[in-house]
Amino acid sequence: MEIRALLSALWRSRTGPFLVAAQVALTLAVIVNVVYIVQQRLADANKPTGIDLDNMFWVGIETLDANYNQAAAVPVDLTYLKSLPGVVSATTVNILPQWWGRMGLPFAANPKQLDTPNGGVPGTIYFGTDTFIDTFGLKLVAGRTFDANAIVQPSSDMASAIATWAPEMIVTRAMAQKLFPNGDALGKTVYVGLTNKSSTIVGIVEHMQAGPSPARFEQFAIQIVIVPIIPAGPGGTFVVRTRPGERERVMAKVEKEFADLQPGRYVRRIEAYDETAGRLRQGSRASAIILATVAFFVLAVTIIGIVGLAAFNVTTRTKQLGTRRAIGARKFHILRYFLVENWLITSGGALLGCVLALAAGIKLSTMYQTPRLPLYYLVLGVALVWVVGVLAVAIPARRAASISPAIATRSV
Amino acid sequence: MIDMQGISKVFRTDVVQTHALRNFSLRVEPGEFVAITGHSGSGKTTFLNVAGLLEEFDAGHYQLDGQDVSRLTDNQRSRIRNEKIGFIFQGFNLIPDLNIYDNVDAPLHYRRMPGAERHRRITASLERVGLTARMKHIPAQLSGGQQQRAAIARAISGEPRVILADEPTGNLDTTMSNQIMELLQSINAGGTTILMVTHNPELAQKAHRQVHIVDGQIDQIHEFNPLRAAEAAVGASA
Amino acid sequence: MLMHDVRLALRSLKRNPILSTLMIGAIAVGIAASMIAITLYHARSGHPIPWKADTLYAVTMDLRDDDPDQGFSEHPEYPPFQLAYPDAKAVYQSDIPVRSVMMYRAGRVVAPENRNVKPFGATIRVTTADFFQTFDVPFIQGNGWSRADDESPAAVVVLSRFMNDKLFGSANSVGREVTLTGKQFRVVGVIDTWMPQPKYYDLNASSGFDVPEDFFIPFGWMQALKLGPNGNVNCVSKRAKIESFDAFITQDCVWLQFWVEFRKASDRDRYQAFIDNYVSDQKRHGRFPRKLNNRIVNVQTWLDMWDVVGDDSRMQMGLGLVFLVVCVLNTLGLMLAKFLSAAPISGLRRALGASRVDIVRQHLVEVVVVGLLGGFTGLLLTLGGLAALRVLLFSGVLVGSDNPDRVAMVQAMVHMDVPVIALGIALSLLTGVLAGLYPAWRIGRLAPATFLKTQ
Repeated sequence: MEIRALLSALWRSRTGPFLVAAQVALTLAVIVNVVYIVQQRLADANKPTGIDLDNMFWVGIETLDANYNQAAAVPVDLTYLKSLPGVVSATTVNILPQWWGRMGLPFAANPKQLDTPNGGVPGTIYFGTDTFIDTFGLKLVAGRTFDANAIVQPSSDMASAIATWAPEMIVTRAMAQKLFPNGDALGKTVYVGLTNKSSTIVGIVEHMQAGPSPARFEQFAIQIVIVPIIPAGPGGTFVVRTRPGERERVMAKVEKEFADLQPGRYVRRIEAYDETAGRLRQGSRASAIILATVAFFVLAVTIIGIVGLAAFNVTTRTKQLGTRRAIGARKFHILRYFLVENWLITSGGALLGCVLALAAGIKLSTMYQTPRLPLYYLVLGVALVWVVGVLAVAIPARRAASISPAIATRSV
Repeated sequence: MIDMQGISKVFRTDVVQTHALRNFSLRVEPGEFVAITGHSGSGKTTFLNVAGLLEEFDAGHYQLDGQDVSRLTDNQRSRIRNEKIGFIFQGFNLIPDLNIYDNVDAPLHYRRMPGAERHRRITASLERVGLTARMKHIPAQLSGGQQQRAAIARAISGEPRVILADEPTGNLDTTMSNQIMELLQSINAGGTTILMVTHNPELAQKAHRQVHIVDGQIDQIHEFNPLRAAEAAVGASA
Repeated sequence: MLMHDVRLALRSLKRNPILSTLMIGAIAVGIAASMIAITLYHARSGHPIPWKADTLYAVTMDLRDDDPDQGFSEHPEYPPFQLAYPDAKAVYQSDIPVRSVMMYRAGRVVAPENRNVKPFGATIRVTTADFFQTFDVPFIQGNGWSRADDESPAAVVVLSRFMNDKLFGSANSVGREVTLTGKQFRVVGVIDTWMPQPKYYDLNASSGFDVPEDFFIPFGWMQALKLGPNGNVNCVSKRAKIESFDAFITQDCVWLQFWVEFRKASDRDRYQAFIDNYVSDQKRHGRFPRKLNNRIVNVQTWLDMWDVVGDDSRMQMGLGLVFLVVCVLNTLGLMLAKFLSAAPISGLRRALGASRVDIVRQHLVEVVVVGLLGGFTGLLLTLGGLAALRVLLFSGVLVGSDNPDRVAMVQAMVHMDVPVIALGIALSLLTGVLAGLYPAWRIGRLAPATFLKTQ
């Protein structure tokens, strides 16, 4: 195969090949980076939550009654929910996990750490009852759930609730490891920032995620502290976990009956928990779809460019190809000529594309503070370009190969 | 060298059937220089295509250099064209994006031939046609006559048994035409059989014999070289 | 002459339907991608109140502890964007600004008079009186309240138009009563539909694009009702202690938005000095340990600090433009191929008397026609794409809300206004010309004799 002759012929009419190579370069840079970003976004959105979302729902209760007795109502509510057939467990919370808002404070094993700069471990706080673990489907790896006596009655507002705190706490393993790196967190006392309070770790759960986070903030989303406090209300948010397949039925029943357990109440909102979590991730997932669509179209346009150039070459070289056949080229030789020529063009583009891809990758990783583009993405990108290039040129190349040698003797 | 018996080629479209060659028989001995004449539409181009294995024929027998080439695959025909036949076209048909050296190289790299051997043949052919100085030029930089000489170099680089020339001087002025004819005659003197299609009677007379085609069949045969006349006559009537 | 060229161009396009479709399609797709990115970027990058560009300022003070930042924010050099109550109360007294606004967002349950309407949760902005004039909020009924009403505090409320429609069926409601968790408020005004894009006066929620609050009540109710904030609360000093609501509002926790408006731009420097003096004074009490970093910023700077535009918008713009470049290159190649293939016809025309300029002009017209057709198709695709995006990106925003303003807001995010459409047309012309300039020039350059030879 005379590559040298092919290259010099390519150079002599280089406009078309340069245009295609430029398109290939830009396409490679786009696709490699888009795939990387999409993969990251989807990975961030799909990280495990530790929560049994598919079998859970939540319901928000509001009341207008100025004399609403939160302390009396909540146990009644929980008893009702837990008694429903099909329900595994239920709890009340101050803020929903997997929601747009979070509340957090610094925690420390040593109270002195809370006075120092950067002291303490930031933790996301959730109020709950002794049924919190069962309701969310968390896995207890050490200790126990809250003692029923340790549950703190509702205060008048959030600030007072925090100021009162609770004697016990359950933490995630990530939080336990940060607080006690030697791994002996169970039973230890933890001090709470911005209050003069502390509590004992009575249980450690394997994993819980407060919400989807980019990788560099992921740690904060899984350092969670659960305290046995009934929120101030009035009313509140209740979370229910059902047995598989029972959720729709239970939700319908709750929506109809739950508010009326106390006079003057109504359901503010009721939603399946996986839908809530999905809405939270809608932005990431949508942007992944958009990016992938754009990358697809960029590739499609470049494929058109490759096919266009090849088809043009077949048309303008018809006489030449017939002559080549006349002097002894086989169909295979013609095919090979087109494939190699195309491969040279796309490879030239791919080379430039790798440079562009790396440059863009560095810019993007700085902008989004993500790790740099791994080099094997470039390898895969070049491989894709090669495969796509061959497929795109296949039909024009076959047409070229089927040009009859008798064309050579035809006049004009 | 060429032995055609009862060759027939029909072009069929939806509407019409054209018998480009009918019951065409011709015998060409090795070393002959035969001129093929005829008006446009007479079938001489078709004859050339069939003779050169550029097209298949519908009926009859064809033996080229002792080999029956009637029913061959496309690849086999390509191989024979490459090794046994050299083509010269009216429009030169040089590849415009390649220089002369690479153009002459073209048929050689469709065979397995080591680079040194190819180089030897290319330089020899270019010297033979007197274009050594123009090796690195592209066709657009050459005159018509030079381009045809380059095409001839390409045709002979493979050391073919027969050269098929289609109006080789059709696009050239008188001086260049004469140059080309001299070159062809000199190649023929070296033992290569040449079939030349032309409509120029003066040029036709420079061949050993002239075969005139009318409506797809041989109409007359003129002998210009008496020595060959008898052999030809024996061959044609067989 | 021009019409003739246009007709030739259209006929030429019709003769090669596949090639023409590919060329127009390539331009259309490239234009659509760029226009969608530009539209989204434009929606996020507008200045919501340009006529107060130099007179409206946000006030920030650096109350943080003197420790290296824990790495949460991209710009640790920025002070917190909100103020703590002791500081807000103190600087509110300054008479340098012609208006000052101190405010935050709360949430409460509303019991409508109309028994047929279920009670519902609503957002309340608790603000001082200057809010409405500072942000040029339009009223359709009544007006706001006075500074004296902040002090008492008067039990008055201003409604949003949506809330007025919901509670009173868009009747004239000035003078009527609304109950916000047990307390009755008298309506003194109703504001017109008002959705600054972005919601610059409080960027703490939903990336800065949100509908305004439903109710506005005087700031004095913060203490009177112990109305806690529903937005972002950040205790920036480790010495802060959380005990009760009354204690909370005295702590070094930031949760209030603070804005000022000056009579003339030069007052800003005087105000800056005032704020710096206040902070220096506070240092004597051990507060504000860091060096002076109090930024009085205009709206544009404020939006930049919050990075409302966002990295995603910028990346999308980059992607859209790269895509457009690929499409231009593609179309250039296709057009070059097409023109070179049709070269014999041009040669014929030249032989019949057309000059080089004629040929180039005719090809340029064809190029512009392709560009415009591509641009037109591209704008249609843009509309379709934006509609799809509205569903993809924003359907979650509309869940659980019956506020038509929210729908309008989402619509505005994906809306192509006139300047953007004009940009689209210009872009498609430019694309067509860029793609076609070189091929047209190449064709004009070739000598006519080249094409007329039979070979």
